[in-house]
Amino acid sequence: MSTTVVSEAEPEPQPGGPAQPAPRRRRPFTVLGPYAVLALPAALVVGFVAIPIVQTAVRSFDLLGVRGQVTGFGGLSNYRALFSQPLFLISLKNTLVYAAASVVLCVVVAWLLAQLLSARFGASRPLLVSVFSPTVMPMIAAANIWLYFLAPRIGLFGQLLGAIGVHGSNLLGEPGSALGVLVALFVWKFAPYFALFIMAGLQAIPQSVREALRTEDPTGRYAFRRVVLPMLAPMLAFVTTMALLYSVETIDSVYVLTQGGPNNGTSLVMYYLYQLGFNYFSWGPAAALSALLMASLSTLSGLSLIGLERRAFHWQ
Amino acid sequence: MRSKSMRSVLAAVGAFALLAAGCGGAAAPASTGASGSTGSTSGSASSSAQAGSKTVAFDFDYPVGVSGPLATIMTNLVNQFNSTHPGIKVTPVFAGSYQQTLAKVETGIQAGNPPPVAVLNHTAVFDLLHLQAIQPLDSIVQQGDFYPAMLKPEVQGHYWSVPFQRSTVVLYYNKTLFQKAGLDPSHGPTTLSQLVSDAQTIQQKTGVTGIEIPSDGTVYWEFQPFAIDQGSNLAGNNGTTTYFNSPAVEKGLQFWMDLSHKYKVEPAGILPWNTVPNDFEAEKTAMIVHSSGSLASILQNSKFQVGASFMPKGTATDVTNLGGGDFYLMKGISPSVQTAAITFIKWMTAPDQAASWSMQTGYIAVSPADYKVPAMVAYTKKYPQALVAPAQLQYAEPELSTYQLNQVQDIFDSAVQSVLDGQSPIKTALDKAQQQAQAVLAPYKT
Repeated sequence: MSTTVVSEAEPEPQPGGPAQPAPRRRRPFTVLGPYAVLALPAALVVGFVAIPIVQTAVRSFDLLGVRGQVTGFGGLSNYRALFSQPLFLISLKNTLVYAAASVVLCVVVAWLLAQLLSARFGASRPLLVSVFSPTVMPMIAAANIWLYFLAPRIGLFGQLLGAIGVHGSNLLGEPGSALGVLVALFVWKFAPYFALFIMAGLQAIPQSVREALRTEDPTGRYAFRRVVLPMLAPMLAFVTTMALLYSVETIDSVYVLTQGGPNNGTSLVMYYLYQLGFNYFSWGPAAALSALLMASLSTLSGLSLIGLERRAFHWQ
Repeated sequence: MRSKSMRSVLAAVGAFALLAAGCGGAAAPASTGASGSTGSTSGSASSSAQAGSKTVAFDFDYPVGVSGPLATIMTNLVNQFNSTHPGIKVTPVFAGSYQQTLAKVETGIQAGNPPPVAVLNHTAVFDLLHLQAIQPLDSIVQQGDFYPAMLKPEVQGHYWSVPFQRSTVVLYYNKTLFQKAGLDPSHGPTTLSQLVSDAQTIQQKTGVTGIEIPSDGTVYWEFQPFAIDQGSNLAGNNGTTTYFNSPAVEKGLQFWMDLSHKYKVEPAGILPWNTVPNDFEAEKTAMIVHSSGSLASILQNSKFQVGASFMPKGTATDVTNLGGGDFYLMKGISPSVQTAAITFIKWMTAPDQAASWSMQTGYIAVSPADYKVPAMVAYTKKYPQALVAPAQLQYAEPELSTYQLNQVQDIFDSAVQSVLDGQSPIKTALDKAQQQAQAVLAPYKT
């Protein structure tokens, strides 16, 4: 009985197909059901994502009062005000450096981790746990742990460096090293996550192909260049894009570790946006910056999605 | 049954939907909670004027700016108020640092739902006035016997806040180490040159770092005494004048630089506000400059004799500057909540409570009367260090306060940090800071 139902259902997985028994009672739900199910999440997306996005974009061309109320049409004045802020330009520069370093390191480390973990001997359970624990931790928690590690003199880093004779290290106390700490935290947190994607890409190479490569190209150099890399390219592109998006969106670690200091050396655009809105009450420039970020980040992810589709590798 | 299956389907709809649902779920209870605690009572209380017939409930936002378990102490104090005032229920809400609390209150103001009462920086007055967010509290201030220094400056002819958790910049020193180094432990260094020589002696004799002055967070605050000492505060009292590049500020900053670079009695670089007291407690440094509000926690965590003293001075007169938070009453709250809020503020700043708050935290009690409360008399007998800050009050200058305060403070703090990190010469950094601050303040000049 049950076996016949299964074998009947399998060739006809579509709802509302002719093989469905008792179609009359089910039909209203199968037509309206998906929409009913989607209504709540769609309403949430519209209410909490779409409407605010449009509102922000519109507001960025208005003059806004101290309480964020519209006081008139401002044209591009918010954008002009934004670009005349020295701190905005500093934050842009910091973000560029931070994002470039984070993305490159993150992809490289993720690649190496993926190699390590796909090696048959490599992936022991304790190793996996220790590698992936940063990934499942919320950024705020991770940053707070690092804050303890990095406290000058009494923190773990200070003591370790002191033990090998480097005294007075104060990594969060200098603009360059503070930004370096943020990059390191980003890589520590996200590289294992991206390694999963690369591992998935590596494992998608069929066993037969791998065996063939092993016999025909023992050094692996040619195979890497002509087979592995092209096959992994879409995945690498995806990982790079995601890493770039995540790095531009970084704010929690800045908020916890440095508050943009010292001397604005770690003020990243997202943190600057928060400052503009909630500490400086410059709602107009804040709206302008939000609109700019939105436009640039969605363009970036749109382009990479298109690129991803074009270059996708298909086994024929 | 049906809703259950719906929910399980919904759970599987995908990451995007889940994300949105998560946002909605987080936002919804927060907003209903807030309107439940403030809104429900405002409607009911305005209809029945008699107090006590209905419970008036409201939120009270407060920051924690010094070390120690202040949130617990505050909750206990507010619980005490609630139990002795049937008909009023105050919910204390810990809202982060001073800056974060201000941001939270501002957001509430913009959403039309501010916490009726908040402890905010005394210096937030200009921005709060600009937002038309606060009501004057002249009656409470005039009835109370507060230290005059805490009421300065009077803005637009009113008192806009009631002093609550005030502090001064003081010098803490390790008496035990002073003794070991052959220095007089009965007082800290009184002049700047003595500060340098004491620090050098201690470093030579004991190997412990001479002094640490915090230089992140609110750098301007610990820096102010050094500028005032040289003849000029950082800003005027009208909310728009700044003196960031005055010769006094320049000299003060030069002394800071000299401590680490010339005399080498302080670690170079940026020292975090939060960990400097830890270094002192762990005897990594013999002296620190910090808030008088950190006294209670420093006393508790130190295994040596702690000394607290006036700031060392370069000129003839003693100096320090005030800081800390006051009670503010917001606009746009119902009359019954307002009455209850005023009762609450009065109670919290009355001598018994003010003395208790001061003893547990180290903040200066806000009125001379507080120091006559028996428990306080006993406490100051045991810990005479607690009397240093109130004695400083007659020399205390107001904390940097302007319109667009967060931005102006950030400008000055970055300038100091750029000098400390060796990225910029003193003069250049200060000139730039002054110019930037004046650009920010230009629209507020009348």
